[in-house]
Amino acid sequence: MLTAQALRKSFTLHLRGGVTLPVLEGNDLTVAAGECVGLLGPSGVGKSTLLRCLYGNYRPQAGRIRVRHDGAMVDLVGAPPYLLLAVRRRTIGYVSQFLRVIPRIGALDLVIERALAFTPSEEEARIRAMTMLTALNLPARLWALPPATFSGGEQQRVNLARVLVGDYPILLLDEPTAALDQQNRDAAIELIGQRVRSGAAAVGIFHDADARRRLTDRGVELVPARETA
Amino acid sequence: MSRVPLLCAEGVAKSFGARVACRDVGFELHAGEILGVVGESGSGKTTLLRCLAGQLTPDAGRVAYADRSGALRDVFAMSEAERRRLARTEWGFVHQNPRDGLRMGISAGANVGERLMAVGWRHYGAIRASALAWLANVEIAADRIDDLPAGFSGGMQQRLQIARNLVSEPRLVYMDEPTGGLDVSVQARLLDLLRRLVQRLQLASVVVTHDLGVVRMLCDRLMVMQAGEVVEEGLTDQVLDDPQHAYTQLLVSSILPA
Repeated sequence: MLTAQALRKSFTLHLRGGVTLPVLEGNDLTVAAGECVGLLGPSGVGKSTLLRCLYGNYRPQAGRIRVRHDGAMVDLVGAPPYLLLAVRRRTIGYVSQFLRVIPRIGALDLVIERALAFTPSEEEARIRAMTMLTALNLPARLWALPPATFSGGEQQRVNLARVLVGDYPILLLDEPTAALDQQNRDAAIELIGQRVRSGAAAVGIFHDADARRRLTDRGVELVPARETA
Repeated sequence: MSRVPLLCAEGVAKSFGARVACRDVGFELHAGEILGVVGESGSGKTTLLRCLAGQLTPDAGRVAYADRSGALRDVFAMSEAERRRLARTEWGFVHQNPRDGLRMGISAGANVGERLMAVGWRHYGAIRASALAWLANVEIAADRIDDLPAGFSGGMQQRLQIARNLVSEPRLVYMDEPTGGLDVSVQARLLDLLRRLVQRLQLASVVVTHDLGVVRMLCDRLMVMQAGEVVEEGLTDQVLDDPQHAYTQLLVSSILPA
C-alpha cells in the first residue's frame, strides 16, 4: 500500500544563518494492507517528520513515496498539487498530534466534510459523522460548536472522527490517543483496530505503551541523523 | 478530477519601462482549485493577476484557458471581443476596492442584474428574482435591493461585488486582496462567506493577498512572490509548515501561529 525509499529531509534555517538540520537520511519503510507499523525512537529522531513527509506536508529533498491511489501506484514526491489533494481526500487519512481546522465551523460539519469524499449522499455523510462522534464519546451538545473552545481530549476526538469516518486505505497516526483518558483511549484503539483489520495500512507513533501493544504488528526503529559540518 | 487544467500560465513576464513587475511565472490551475499568491507590496502580484485575467498584455509568455468546450485557448491570441465575452461569462474579478468593481450610481439589485443582462437575460422578473437570491447568498437584506451601494458599509459593498461576480456562474474568479481594508470581524465574516461559496459552486480562483490568514482559510495552494519572481510554491500547508525559501521563512515567522 505504501513504500518510502531513501527519504532525505533536512531543514535549512535561512533566518538563523543558514544552519541546516538533517533529520531523515535515506529512510525506507514499507507497509502492507491490514498491517499497523509503529515508528520507534527517542524524541527528535524524526518520527513526526517522517509521517508528515508521507502525508506530503513536508517536502523531502530526495527519495520516493509510493502509495496505491485509485488502483495505481503514485509517487507523492514531486506530485502535482491536484494529485496530492486527491490522495489526501480519498486515500490517506492523517491524524495529526493536534487538531488544526478552519475556524468557526462546528465539529459535526467538520466531520461531515470528510465523509462527503466517501459518499455522494449528504444524509449518509451526516449519519456516518454522527455515528463516529458517538462511538468516540463526544457529547452531542458539542457537535454544533467549533472545536476551538474544546478541551485537548475533545479536540483529539474530533481529529480522530475526521479520519475514522472515511474509508481511507492508508492511515497515518501521530500519537492519536495521547490526549485521551482511559475510556476514550479504549474506544479510539478499538476503532483504529477495526480499520486495520478491515484492510487499512497504518503507520503510527504511539508513546502510549498500551496503544502500541494493542495496535502495532511490528516496530521500525529510527536512528538519529548525523550532524554534518 | 480532470488532467486538463482550467488555466495554464507559462513564462509570463511584464515590465513597466525598466521596472520588472513579474518575470517567468508559470503554473497550472485545475477546476475547483484555489491558488493564493502572496508577497509584499510591489512584488508583482496584482500585475500578474491582471495579466492572467486578460486585462494587461504580458511582454512574454502565454496564458491559456480551457472554456466549457475543454480546449485550452491562448487568451491573448483571441480577439478583444472574445476576451470580453470570456470575462463576462466564465470569469469574475473581485477588486480590493469595491468601488472599482461596482457601479456606484445604480442600485444594488441593478448591479447584480447588469451582469445577467450582459450574458443575455432579458426577463425582468427573472433577473430581479435572481438578484434577490444572490443578495440573500451574500447576506444582504432583501429590502436593500433598491438602495445605492454608496450607502452600504465597506463589508456590504464587498459582498455586493461578490454577488455581482458570481451571479453569472463563472468557473474562475480572480480576487485582488478581497478582504483588504475591512476591519477584522468583517474580514472573518467575508472569508466564511467566500469559503462557503467557492465550495458550493466548485469555483477555481486565483487570490492575491498579503494576508496569510486569508490563505489558510481559502487556498489549496500557494505561490510566494518576491521582486516579481515566484520563489516558492506548493500546497498551502506545505509552504506554511515547511517554508524553504528565505523570504517565505521570514513571512511565516512574522505571523502568529494559527
